[in-house]
Amino acid sequence: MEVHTLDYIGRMAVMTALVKNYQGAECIKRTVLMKMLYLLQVVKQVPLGYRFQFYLYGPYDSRVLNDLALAESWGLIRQEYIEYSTGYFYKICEELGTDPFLEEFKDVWHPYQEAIRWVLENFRQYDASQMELLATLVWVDRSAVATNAELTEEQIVQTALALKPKATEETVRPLLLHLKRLNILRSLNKRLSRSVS
Amino acid sequence: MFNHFSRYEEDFIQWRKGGYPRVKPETRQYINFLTDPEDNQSPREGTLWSHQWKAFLRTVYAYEILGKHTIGRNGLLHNIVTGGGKTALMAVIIAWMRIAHGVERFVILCPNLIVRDRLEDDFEQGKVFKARQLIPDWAPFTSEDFALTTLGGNRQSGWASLLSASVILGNIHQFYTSNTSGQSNLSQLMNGPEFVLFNDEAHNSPAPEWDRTLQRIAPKVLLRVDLTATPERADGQRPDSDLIFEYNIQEALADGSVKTPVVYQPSIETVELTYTDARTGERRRVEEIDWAEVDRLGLTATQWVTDDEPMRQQMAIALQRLKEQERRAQGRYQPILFVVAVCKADAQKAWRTLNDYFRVRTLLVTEDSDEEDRRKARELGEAQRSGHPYKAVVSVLMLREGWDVPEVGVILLLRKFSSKVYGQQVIGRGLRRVRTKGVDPNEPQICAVVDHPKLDHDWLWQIFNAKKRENVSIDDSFDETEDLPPPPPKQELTKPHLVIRVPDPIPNFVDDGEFVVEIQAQTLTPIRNWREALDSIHYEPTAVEITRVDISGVVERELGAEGWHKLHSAPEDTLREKGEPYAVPISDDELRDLIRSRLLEMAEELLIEAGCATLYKDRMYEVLVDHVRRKFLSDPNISLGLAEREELEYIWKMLPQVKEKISANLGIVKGVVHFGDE
Repeated sequence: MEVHTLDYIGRMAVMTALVKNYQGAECIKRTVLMKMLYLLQVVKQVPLGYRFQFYLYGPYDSRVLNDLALAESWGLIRQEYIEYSTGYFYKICEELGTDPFLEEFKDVWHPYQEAIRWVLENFRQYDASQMELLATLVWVDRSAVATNAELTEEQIVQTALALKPKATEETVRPLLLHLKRLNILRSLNKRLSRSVS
Repeated sequence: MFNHFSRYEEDFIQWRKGGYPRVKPETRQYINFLTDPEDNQSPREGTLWSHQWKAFLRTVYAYEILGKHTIGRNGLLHNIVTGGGKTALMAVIIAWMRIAHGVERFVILCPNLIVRDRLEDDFEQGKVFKARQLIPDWAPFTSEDFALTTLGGNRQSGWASLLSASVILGNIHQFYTSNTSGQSNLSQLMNGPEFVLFNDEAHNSPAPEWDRTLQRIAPKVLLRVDLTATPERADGQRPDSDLIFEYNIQEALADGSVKTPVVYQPSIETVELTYTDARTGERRRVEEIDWAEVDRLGLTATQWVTDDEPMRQQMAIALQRLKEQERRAQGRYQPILFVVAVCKADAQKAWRTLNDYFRVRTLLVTEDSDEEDRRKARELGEAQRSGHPYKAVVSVLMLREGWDVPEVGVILLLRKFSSKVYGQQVIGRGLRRVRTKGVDPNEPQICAVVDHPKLDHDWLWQIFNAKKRENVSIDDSFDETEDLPPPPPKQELTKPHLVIRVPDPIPNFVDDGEFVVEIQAQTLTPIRNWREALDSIHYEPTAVEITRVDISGVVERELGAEGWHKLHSAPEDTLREKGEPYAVPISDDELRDLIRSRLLEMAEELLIEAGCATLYKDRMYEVLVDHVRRKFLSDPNISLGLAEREELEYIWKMLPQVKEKISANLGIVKGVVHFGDE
């Protein structure tokens, strides 16, 4: 099946709308943004056209960074490199060009307004490391769905922990619960529905 | 190149230590004026840099002590790296020759308008003399007394102005006898006083007409000084002057007088290739392959930097470097991205992509650019005050020697260099240190070069001893001041008396020894029926384009029935951007011009490949135009000017194949040259 995906303007528009609406005027960490885009594409079927692959910090596509660089070049966002004692991160803030751009291309991103609202409402309370785990859980789930595998909660958790060995069960389980409540995990749902029937 | 001065090096050192004996008193007085009061072997602060001082003293020694009969009969050659300050060397020689030898006239020859414009700025109203404090108070003249006349320039021109000129700045062509104004200029010069001649960018001088003109004016030349950063040209020829001083990149790096080059190459894991029907544009197939496998595909090296997606990737990496340079500049100046393309078509595409896609204000300079654009290119570094500066400039080979904008902090290579000379000249554009207000002379400065591993430029990076960063992804950020490589050790000549000159090969020498090195030269026979040979070429109407490059770093795991399976990216559907992905918009007429200009370039390239003179370019171009019409237009009798858009696009996509197929049978090219339409 051929799916039409958003072009670079559309991708930048969705990205910019996320940055703008992320907890009001606060900047968003790049890892958080990457994972939110992943959830938008995989869970809400926003046709961003990224090809996420599993990387050190969970699902990742370098094209997101290309689009961020482009959005920065257009004066829509600003990326700031923040260094701290044990590492670094990038935060992304809105710039002066954000509002006129979103206004000009509202036809492009408005169809996905509801999805954007959904991801922000349900995930903006999580920090970068939690978002990595959340996206990893979804990744495990979707990988299982792709191969028609059915997984138990325990299998999903253990698989996620194998992918993210520094995480603990105590941190992963509440996140899995959150995803379950949102009815996101399809491999798990199938199994549950079968056992119920 | 042999350094003719090395045999006199020990005597020269003793001469310096001895307080410059046997020179004219005025010369000694002027040297003393330039000397550091605390250290009689060094230049006074604010005047010359250390290597300029050495070059100047060698010139004095060669001219006054050794004399023209011993060295420099055809001139004295200084090989000084770009950014090494050749203009100040010219200026100090001018001041010395006026003070010590009473010379009233100085002629500076330069190869092109860009060099001329830059020199004009430096010498206008004696700027360089003042900036370097080269005129002593006791001199019977001031900086302003060096009246500048620029032949063909905006400010003054024509032979009449030569009468009163002190410093004459011109292009060698303005003294060629093949045109009337050249004859007038030459006549005025030859009827005036004797002069000192500066042959700037002297590697251009082995051209026959240039050489003849230098010989014509030689009787009036008291001293000829040749200056270049690349004495050997791409064709292996060199100026006929005697090399007396070398200041190469390694020495400049060791002295910290130029920026340190740092090379960035992307990391690529997989590549997506899209095969399209060149006639209809219809996609035939999309193939994703591993980076390690790409060599089997026969892609051209430049496709890695000129196809849409890879070009954007390279540009994004370059813009990231530009941001880093902006952070280092801290608002004191505007760093500039310099994009180097191989042809006008690529330059225009790069220019549009930067302007329209990345929205980076970019200037395009090609041989078609007018004076206004050349002025803008020259003044790029000063444009910051305008509040709306250019951040990038795209050029083919127009901006080469002489284009000196120290703010160039990033160079993006969208072309492959095979010539040592061109490669060095282009990288040299980024090596000049920024010496603006507020910039500490000892502050580390780098020139970031964004390259691609498929361009095979390692030989070039070795010349520059450049630090190379491989596997660079778009979000990598570097603080290069932290871990720059130590400068290479300076090569000092410790026993100059042991230097020997490697003799030139004996012309008729036949080596009948045991080891005979056979040159595997391809003997090309001109094809008499070249038109038939051309017609018989078959083209596969498939165009291949790199449509996606994925950077590396992806971790794959296996998750089987009970455990791991191979994890793939989540979306499995075939992805297509809604509408077309970003493509550089181009009108029908622009496309026609691009095809014509590419055919013209191909004509020249093919002639060079076949070892033929490029003066047959027009003939070859006509043949190529006729060939593409016959092969790719539905009606071969119509001209390119009347062809429909679809057909023009078809031709454009097929041009790489045309070049490839004719290159594979260069006898055709030789046939065109030798037999023509007979």
